[in-house]
Amino acid sequence: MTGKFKPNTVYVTYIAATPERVWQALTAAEFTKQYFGGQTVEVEPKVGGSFVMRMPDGRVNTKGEVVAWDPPRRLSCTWGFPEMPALPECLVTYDIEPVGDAVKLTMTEAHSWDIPEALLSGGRSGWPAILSSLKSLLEIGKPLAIKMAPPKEMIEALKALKR
Amino acid sequence: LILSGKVIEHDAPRRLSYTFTPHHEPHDGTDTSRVVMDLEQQRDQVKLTVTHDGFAPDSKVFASISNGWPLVLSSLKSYLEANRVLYAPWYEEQAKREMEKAAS
Repeated sequence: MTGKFKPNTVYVTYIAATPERVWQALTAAEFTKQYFGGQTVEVEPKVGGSFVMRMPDGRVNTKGEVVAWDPPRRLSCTWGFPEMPALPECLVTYDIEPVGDAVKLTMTEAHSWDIPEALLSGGRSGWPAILSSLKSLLEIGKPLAIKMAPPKEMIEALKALKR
Repeated sequence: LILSGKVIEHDAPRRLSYTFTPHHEPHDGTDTSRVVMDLEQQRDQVKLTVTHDGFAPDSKVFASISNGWPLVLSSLKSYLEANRVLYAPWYEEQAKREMEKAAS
């Protein structure tokens, strides 16, 4: 099912931590709520399990399915957006590799359709902020307080998609 | 010599741009592209945007920098926030190759 997805956005960061700690930071709600815009992750630890990201108010922002579950090396999930049903689901993969005494974390956002640049702008502005904050959290115990808002061009493109 | 270039813009502490010519293997010091660093203050943090463009059509530099920048920028962040740097194994491999070359 993942063959139809083509990578559009790739972000690589190196973190002074163990693969296990990075895995925990990606899959445990008490970590994600600190660096992922306050969102909490709920992931069923198996292929075919459910994947959910909740807003701080409890609303489900992202809902999908676990496609790869290989702790602490690879997590791949489909991301659907219940509040934006016109937006096709994407595939988000985290690859974790030990490098020297650090870890190379690669985030790949892949899409199954010819997605316009304007819709990619959300991920392209969001992932660097989210993953920088994750790195700070693991290295100095403190996330970054980045105020994130969806880019204007993305909001416009989403409106156009609904019509 | 690893890299050389010329400063294009110098607007401290907001923007720095320069030409970028790598001399280390597999490059030969003739393949020039451009780097732009933009710094934006966001509360007590800084957003650093690195744009590397202007590659020649047959440039080999894009492949090298795709490996290089994520590590260099991750290491810079660790240095500023946690006072430590990050190494990658290929640094040592590169250093070994350079030393062997110098010795031969």
